[in-house]
Amino acid sequence: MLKIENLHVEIEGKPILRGLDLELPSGQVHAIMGPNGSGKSTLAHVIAGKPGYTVTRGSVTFDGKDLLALEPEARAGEGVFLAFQYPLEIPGVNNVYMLKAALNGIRKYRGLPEMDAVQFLNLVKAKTKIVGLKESLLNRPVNQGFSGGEKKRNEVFQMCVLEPRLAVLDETDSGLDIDALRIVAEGVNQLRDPARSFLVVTHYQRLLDYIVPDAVHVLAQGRIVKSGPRELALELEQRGYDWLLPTAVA
Amino acid sequence: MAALLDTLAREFRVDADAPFAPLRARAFANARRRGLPSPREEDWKYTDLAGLTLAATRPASPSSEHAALPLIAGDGPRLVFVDGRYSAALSSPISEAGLTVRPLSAMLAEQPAALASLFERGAADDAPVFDALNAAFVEDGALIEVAADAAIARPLTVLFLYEGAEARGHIASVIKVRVGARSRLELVEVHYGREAATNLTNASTDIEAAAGSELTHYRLTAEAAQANHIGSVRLRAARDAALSSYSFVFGGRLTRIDVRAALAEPGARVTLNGLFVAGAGQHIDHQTFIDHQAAHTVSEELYKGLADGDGRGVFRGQVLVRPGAQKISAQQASHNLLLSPTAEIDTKPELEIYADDVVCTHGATVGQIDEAAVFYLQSRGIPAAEARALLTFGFAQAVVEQVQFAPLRAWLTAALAGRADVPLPTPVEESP
Repeated sequence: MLKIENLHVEIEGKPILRGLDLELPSGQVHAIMGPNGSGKSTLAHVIAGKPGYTVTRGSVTFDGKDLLALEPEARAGEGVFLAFQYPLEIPGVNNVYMLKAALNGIRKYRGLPEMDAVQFLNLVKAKTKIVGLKESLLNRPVNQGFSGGEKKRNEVFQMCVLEPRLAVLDETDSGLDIDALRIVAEGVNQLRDPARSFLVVTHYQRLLDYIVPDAVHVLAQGRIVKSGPRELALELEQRGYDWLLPTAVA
Repeated sequence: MAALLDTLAREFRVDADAPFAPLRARAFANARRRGLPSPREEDWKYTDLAGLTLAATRPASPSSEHAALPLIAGDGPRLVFVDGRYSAALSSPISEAGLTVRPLSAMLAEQPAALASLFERGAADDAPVFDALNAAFVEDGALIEVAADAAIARPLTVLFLYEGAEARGHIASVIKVRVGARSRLELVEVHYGREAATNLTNASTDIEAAAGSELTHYRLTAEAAQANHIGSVRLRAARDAALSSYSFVFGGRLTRIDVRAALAEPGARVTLNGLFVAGAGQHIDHQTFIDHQAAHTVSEELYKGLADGDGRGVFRGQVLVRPGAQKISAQQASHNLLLSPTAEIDTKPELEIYADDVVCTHGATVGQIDEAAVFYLQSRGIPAAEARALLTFGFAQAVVEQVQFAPLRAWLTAALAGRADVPLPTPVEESP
């Protein structure tokens, strides 16, 4: 489904990703772990199409399609979703209003008719229950005045409504207490499906107790330095990352 | 700069027998003597009137009575003026108990004495030039009175239509409102120009809210692209009166609006809010002055500005707290968004405080669309242009959502959406 080959990415001339290879098959959950500054968020951003990154080499394809050639909204149309590490506040635009524009934007991209208000509201209400999002937050401006946990829950809620085929979760666990973490993870688990893949970027293995990955990749110094089964995450928890890093040249 | 006044001088005729002829003559003489204000004056620093000319003088005969009413007229009680003249045909009967509304033209003909103060003020030596010109030329307008203890349920609309090419020259008008003690009124003032109009509107609104009354005044300027607009709004709130005045400016070439609010007695509350959109070739200047004359008064002000193309916006917000006006609260905010690299907005809060037990806050910002927010919306599947429109709309919402008069709220929403040429998603109803 998602195939990344020899990806090199720079920010303002500074190389961040240096030859990253990754293959995420349909229906699987892969975790990306790694030390701070290893390029985890850059990878998430480049998949979603955030401006400011320069891809100097390599490719990212999604079902054989060149993702890098598409605008961010077209990637969403293809079924890519990024749950932000720091969700943005959008003053004056309420949550439901934004989601309706998003859902209809995606439907339009796929040549489907717009959803009417009644259908849409029913859908939204059903989805709020999955992530335990208070209904009162629906008609509030997007993320404005939301607590950290509410913002993350709102990301997962949006994901539930938009039903992507590839969901990239960028440190969705950061800033969550254990109860919020469990609810967010349950939302993700309910979406697990043979036709849907997840790339879970995280710093801690804690999240992976709830979202059990099919594979764990260690990203360090801009490339995948080790891949393994979920047990690798536990090993990383105990041993840290240093043993995986190439010895620094003195 | 003389061009405008010279054109007006050719036009200025005053019938010696007409009411207030000497006052009108004096007002005009004062205006000519002083000339138009120049950018050297603090009030006019950002607005240069040098290019303000009148393409043609105003038509001698009243315009068509068959103008089509824009939707914004609503279906409530209304007074309609076409190119400055009262149109009985387009106005609707007003039968609200406690509400008296008369066209100024009728009063001038029948009971001119009641209008003396209006002309005396315009003829005063220190009257601002456009006030003087208004007094010299005004022929029509609306005189509105609400009796004491009357709550007027339906909003009253005063609609000035500037009907295309017929609308030219200096068109002066007056709205004078007196809201009796403990009464309530919602007033909608609309200046609506149609394509090809080149009028110079000179509109003066004067509102007095007596003790314990409540008045909301919505003022929309949607002039034609080549029309200019000078507006003056004077407000006075007596003891425990609550007065809100909104200014929305969308159309026009040059627009200048002065809002002066006096919180004259304890307990008075004044809210001044505004929203303007200065597109390519447009210049929109708001000058507001909030005068806390009495203790225990509260003012709130929120102006939002958008500028696109080479559009230019100006906001100057003066707040004066007079000696002895203790325990007052004054909050002012001016937030602005530049939508293009060639747009410009100048904002200037000015607080002058002569009392020591007060709470005054102010904040002014000029920013751009948050590109991170654009990406956030794009990543959800919303195309970039629509994302920008949504963010622009969201920025303006804080002012628009306060509007209770549904036709105006709908008009503003459509106008904001129309700007970016992208339809906004239909609002989703709140769940029951």
